[in-house]
Amino acid sequence: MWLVEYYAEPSSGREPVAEWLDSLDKHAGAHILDKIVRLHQNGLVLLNTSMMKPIKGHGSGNFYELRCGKYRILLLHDFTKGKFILLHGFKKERQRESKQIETAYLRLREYQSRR
Amino acid sequence: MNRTFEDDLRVKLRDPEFAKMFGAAQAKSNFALTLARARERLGLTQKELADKAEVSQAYIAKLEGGEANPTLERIGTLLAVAGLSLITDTTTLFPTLLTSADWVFDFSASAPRGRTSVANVTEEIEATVPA
Repeated sequence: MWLVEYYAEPSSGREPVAEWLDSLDKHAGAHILDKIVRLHQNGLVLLNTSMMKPIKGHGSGNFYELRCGKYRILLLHDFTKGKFILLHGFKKERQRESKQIETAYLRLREYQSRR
Repeated sequence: MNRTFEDDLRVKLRDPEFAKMFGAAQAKSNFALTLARARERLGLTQKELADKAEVSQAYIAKLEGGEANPTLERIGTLLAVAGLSLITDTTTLFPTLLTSADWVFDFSASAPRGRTSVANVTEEIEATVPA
């Protein structure tokens, strides 16, 4: 089993992915939580399937996306602590993906700057 | 206090509608992993498997993404291309939740009375285990 955690904003303690999951309809929520369970059970093995892909061009190659239909969760693999951090969730729409990746990457950088 | 996805899932699974949808998703992603594992073992790319099975590479990608809903016949055909045969079995909806007795009872409360409810099965198992 692999540890999977929600990213928490340092000032407010808010967990954006947890809040996003609450905002979705049941069908989407069930399918996305299934993918999170698969990540928990299989970790990086999911890279051999179409359920998870690396995000290229950002940092040191530990930045990934979990795919579920049109929904995406961007996440960090913190290999020093052996866990996945769920940074940002969104529904894929045309031409807005780079902005979503930017949001997740800012959180990734903030997380990595912690001591 | 930080939330965990395990707790969130545990709460959501108390809703029978959600549990059904989660079960449907689990079946698809479970087969996605099975197919990807079989393909990797053979050292085939998605395209090579698709060509052998006479389906599109996009369809294999969908299957391995847990996004497709193949028939049992289609599953059998795809696996035969890899020289494999399907075995089926069941497990609890989310194994790590088994430690939570309240989840078992909440879930069974919405199930029809009779031998099929989770609580009854649990009781039957407990009855056969010496104290």
